[in-house]
Amino acid sequence: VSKFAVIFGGAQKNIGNAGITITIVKKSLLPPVATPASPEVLRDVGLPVGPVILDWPSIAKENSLYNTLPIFDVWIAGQVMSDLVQLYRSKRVRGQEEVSAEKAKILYRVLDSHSDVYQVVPDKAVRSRMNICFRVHGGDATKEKEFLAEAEKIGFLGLKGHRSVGEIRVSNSVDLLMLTRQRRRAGQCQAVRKILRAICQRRIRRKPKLELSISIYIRRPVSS
Amino acid sequence: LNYQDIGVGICEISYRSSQANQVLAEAKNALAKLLSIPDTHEILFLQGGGTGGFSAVVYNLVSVWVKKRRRRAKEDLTVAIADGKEPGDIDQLQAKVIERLKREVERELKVDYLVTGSWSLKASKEAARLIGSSKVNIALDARAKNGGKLGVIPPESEWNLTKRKREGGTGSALIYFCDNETVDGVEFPSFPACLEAHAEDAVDDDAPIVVADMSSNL
Repeated sequence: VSKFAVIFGGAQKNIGNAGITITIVKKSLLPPVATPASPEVLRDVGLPVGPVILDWPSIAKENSLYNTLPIFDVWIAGQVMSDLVQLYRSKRVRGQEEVSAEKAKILYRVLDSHSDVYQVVPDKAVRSRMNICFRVHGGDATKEKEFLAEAEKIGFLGLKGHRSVGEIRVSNSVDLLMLTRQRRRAGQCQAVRKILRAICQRRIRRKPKLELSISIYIRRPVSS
Repeated sequence: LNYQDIGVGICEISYRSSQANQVLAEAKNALAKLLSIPDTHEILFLQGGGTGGFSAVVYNLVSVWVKKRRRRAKEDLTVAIADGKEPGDIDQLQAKVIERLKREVERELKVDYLVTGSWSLKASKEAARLIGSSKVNIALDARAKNGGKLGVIPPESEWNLTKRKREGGTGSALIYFCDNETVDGVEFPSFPACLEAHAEDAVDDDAPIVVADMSSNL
């Protein structure tokens, strides 16, 4: 992290659901060390002034609560990350990295050993551990369609590549879990499942909407 | 639906409530722990997804660049006017600063992008849309070396980064890459050696300002 001035990422890939963008910014680029140019100066020199919701100094000053933050999304991400911290302990994100690398290795090995059928798209040195992109029979449209249909039959969903390139793409998340039966080690998946289960259980105790809104003010504990 | 037994659900609590603050603090702590984020860095939660991040990076880092240049222009010109090297008097300082700043923005403001896939390409296009393509230096276009197709990361020696000050250049306001390209299945195997900061970079504020989109491999 220390090598970067800024790291950002939408939460929806590995951390939670879409809605929040995690941004890690070096403090030396934020006030009081660095102050942004004033809107007047930017206008004077012909540069654009950005919307305040993308303005890191404003967001940092208000502890990310400058405008309404989708707290549910933050909560989900928090649950997933806490779970990963607990799961991998001192290994931290390295632990997750090992699992991902292992899963990617398994897949690439299978693809490479059937290179007459499957061709991995990127160069070997820069193959992604997260998105395994390959072609079937050199990109034969009929064969790829057949591959996707057969895959769907046995429960592999969403293997179709991005709409801009076609291809077949396996993303290193849930898809592969089914294949390698690493459910126990898949911290993220477990956390999400736990959350979904919790929501289901609580739904039974759901009270009428009116009462819920009243209890915002009186903070009346709900009897179980 | 009944968060911590307070009688209301997590979607209903105010984002300014103590519970929401606690949710935020816990998520921040977990992220800091998970990624071993040092105290030199701040964690922010924004909205607008990765695509919003494309714009935020440009707005914020260009603004920091302009502010730094403005401060230096002001210092230089104040001294020059006092020494009589710059015509005019101190009342005209503000106008002179803006004039010099305009020139520097025109000639020296650069943002560098390493295009290795669809997302970094999109980010570079957003930079061009916001500040003009003349200021966007595509330091690497992986397609150019691969017959128009993505799927490789050429060696660093072939990258065309804006020269740093100690190399006789003016430096870049930011150097951007997407660590893992989801559409193309391309990932940087490690942190690029040429983007490492060195002790001598502290002189003249010459350390590269490296920005990474890690949406898919954080």
